[in-house]
Amino acid sequence: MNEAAYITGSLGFQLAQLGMWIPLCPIIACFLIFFCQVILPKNIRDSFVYQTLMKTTSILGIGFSGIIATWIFYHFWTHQLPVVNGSQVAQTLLFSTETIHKSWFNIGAHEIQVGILLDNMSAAVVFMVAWVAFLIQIYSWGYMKGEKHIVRYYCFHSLFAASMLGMVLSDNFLTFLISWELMGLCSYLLIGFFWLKKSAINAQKKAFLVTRIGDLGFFLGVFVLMGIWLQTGQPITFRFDDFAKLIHEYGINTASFSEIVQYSRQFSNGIPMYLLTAAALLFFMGTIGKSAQFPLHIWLPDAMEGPTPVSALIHAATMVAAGVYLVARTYFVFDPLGTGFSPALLVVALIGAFTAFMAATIGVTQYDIKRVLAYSTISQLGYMVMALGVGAMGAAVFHMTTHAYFKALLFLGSGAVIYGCHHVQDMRYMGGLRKYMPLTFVVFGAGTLALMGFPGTAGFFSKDMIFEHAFGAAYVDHPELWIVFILGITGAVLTCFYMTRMIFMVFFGKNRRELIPESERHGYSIEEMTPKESPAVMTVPLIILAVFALFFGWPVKYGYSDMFNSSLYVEHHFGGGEQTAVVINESKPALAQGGQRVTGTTMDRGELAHGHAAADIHGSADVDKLHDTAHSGSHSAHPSWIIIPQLLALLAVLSGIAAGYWVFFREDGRKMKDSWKRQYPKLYDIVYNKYYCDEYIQRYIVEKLLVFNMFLRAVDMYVIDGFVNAVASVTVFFTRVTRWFDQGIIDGIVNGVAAVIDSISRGIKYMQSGYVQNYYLIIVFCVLSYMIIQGHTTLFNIKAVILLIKAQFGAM
Amino acid sequence: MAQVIPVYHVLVVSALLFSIGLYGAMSRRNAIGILLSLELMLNAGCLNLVAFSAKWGPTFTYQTFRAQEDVSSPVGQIFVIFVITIAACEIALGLALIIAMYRHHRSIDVDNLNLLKW
Repeated sequence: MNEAAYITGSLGFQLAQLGMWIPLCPIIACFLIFFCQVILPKNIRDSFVYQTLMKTTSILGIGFSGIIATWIFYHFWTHQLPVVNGSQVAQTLLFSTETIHKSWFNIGAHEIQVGILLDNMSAAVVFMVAWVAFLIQIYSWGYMKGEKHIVRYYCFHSLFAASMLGMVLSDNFLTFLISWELMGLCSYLLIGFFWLKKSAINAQKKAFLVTRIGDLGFFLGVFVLMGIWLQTGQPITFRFDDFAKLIHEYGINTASFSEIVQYSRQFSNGIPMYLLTAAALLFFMGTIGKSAQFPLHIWLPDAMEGPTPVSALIHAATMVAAGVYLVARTYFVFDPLGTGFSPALLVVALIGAFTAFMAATIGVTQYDIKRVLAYSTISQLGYMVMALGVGAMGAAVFHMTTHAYFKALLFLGSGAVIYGCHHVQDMRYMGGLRKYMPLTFVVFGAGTLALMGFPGTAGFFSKDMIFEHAFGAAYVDHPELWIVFILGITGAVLTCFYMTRMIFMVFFGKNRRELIPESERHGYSIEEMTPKESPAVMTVPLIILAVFALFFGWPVKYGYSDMFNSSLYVEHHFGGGEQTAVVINESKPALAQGGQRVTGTTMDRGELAHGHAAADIHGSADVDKLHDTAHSGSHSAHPSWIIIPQLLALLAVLSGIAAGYWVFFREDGRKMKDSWKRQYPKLYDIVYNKYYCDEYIQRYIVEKLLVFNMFLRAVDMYVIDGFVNAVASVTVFFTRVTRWFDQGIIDGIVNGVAAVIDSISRGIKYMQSGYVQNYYLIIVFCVLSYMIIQGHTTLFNIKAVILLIKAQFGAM
Repeated sequence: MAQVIPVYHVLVVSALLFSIGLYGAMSRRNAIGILLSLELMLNAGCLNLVAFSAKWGPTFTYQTFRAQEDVSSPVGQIFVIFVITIAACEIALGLALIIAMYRHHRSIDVDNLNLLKW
């Protein structure tokens, strides 16, 4: 991205080095707890002191990362970092020359680097994730009191937060994917925390398998990008900014598939647009799975089987935000032309808007308090994805952050309600709770207002920003996006409607605890079922979250709104500017020479423009100046139509609340509702049963898949196993042959030698008679033999002796 | 000059002596007899040494009052004295063994000592 961000000792380098500890703190806590759990004996593990200690460890771990995240967020908020492409950046490479090695590992010539990437977006998101996870852990102290396996719960909780933080901070696809999968694992472990409940086990399996389908797409998308990378001939790195730079340098070839295949197989005319679209859609599959978008949203309501704080964590901070963050992080793939519009983004926008609308309709009919919130999460995620689809990436991440605050608040509030009602979750048995738990009512009401997007709350600003962008995109260039805007606004009305319904059913009217059937009372009598207020350890996090949910929008809206933007080499062109079309046969299409752009509806657009204009400025002193100019520029240049979506959003909120008030609080409205219910039983039934999504998927996909699995099993048993068994029997046969050879021939030779020697020695051993004179005889015999054989030459020439003797005697 | 016994005669005597010793060593069952036979063979060898020394050994000139006379040096005889000394030791050792054998077996017949065999 930029070398300035890497300079050792610079502020960016120091912050990024510090940022490494944000995921490390909770993961250290997790491992510590894990090893204590494994090593220590059972009587210690069950002791109160140990459990308190472990809980404190976990909370401290996430608290430290929260403090570090705040420190980093402070630097970003006060513009102390170099600006690159409209976003402040602090980066460091782990395993770099300063620490251990040049890179993480090498594959051939490809040097794989990992590092920490802090920009406006990730700094804002880690701040949110760390503190929300911290508050949820504090809350769990009260909510999960008396739970036997509380230490295990905290261990998984820490790992969950750590993997989300690691994902947000990773600057490459590898660690991103690792953290992404770890999050899937943690959601599996925590949803099935009450593992004795059959439904919890089914829910955890469902969550894991359904998100795996999306993960497969994400994985394949990385492969497609790798393929593009290989085709360019550059050494592969997995880092986001390297990818963005690659796309920027090579340019985009918007020619159609057949033309490219026909005329230019190489990327000399730019990277083919269809490949990037394919990669983007595959990435979006991951988002559909993780962020519970339309076809794969079915796991999220079932995930309510987990403990309520876990639902809060999944819905607010960690799991579902990951999908949105993925698209925001890889926005350079979704929107390579920088126009805020591409085929992939159109799909994203449509799916997001449809999900937002559909989930809101389901939310109207549900009775389980957590299920209503679950569908509202799906709906809000639909808004985020819709915002991504209409080119408003900053607005999407902004909404993700505000949504995290108010949805954590709502879930923890519903947890407090459930806790107060002695684990009754059905809203039909609640009612009138504002008298029993006033504090919970106030904070829950705050969260509800934020979710509705009531003017002045955090949800208002973020949702408003999304509607402005959707409206602008539809109004100015792309009329096909009108459907997106209309679905979004309708969904907003429905959101207000069902939240009013929920507030009414839970907090107003008469308490209906006497209706609770015997089977759901957990052994309490009606008198004992009297609702009660939660302890302070639960209410204090709620109050903090309520403050954030109500007021977080103001500083962002009127302070530094570009906080949620991170544009890796994507140059945005919003509004009526000419589209940067890239023509085939042009070797280096110039992205930056795009049309004149109308300054955006909200500040992030304006900021971005000035950020580009002064992209060469690195350094805090200049950044302030840049920021000031950008700031003034952004406020002055609202187009005149901007008032329309703002008014429409306001109207949606008010009409939704009014309709809800009329239908649920007023007698005549309630009568009308009941008559409608009777009049259209079929429609109600379909919506109540969630459009039979689960059933359709079960019937047309899962069961077909099971049949296919039976076939695969048969193949496995008869073909694969048969082959393996055949190989085995051939091996056995050859082994028999070699065994025969070994035993018969090799052993025969060895034994034969031994037997021959044995029989010979049996014969000649009697020479050893034991009589000394025999030995003497043999010695004499041998010496004499030697003399006779060798004697005629050297030692004893017997002939010469005889001759000598004859001569002597003859001479005498 | 007195007739000198030719060395070959001594050799023949020595060979006879050796053969008697060899026969004795191989045929006697009595351990003391075997030792005696060994001694015979040893003395046969000593006789050879003396004879060879007298015949071919170094000489020196012996000056008398009247005349000069070449005399063979007694190297062989001296060597034989050493051999006899060593042989005496050897016999002592052999006799000690025989006493030990007698104490163990109450006999000095070497045919009783046949335990070390196949």
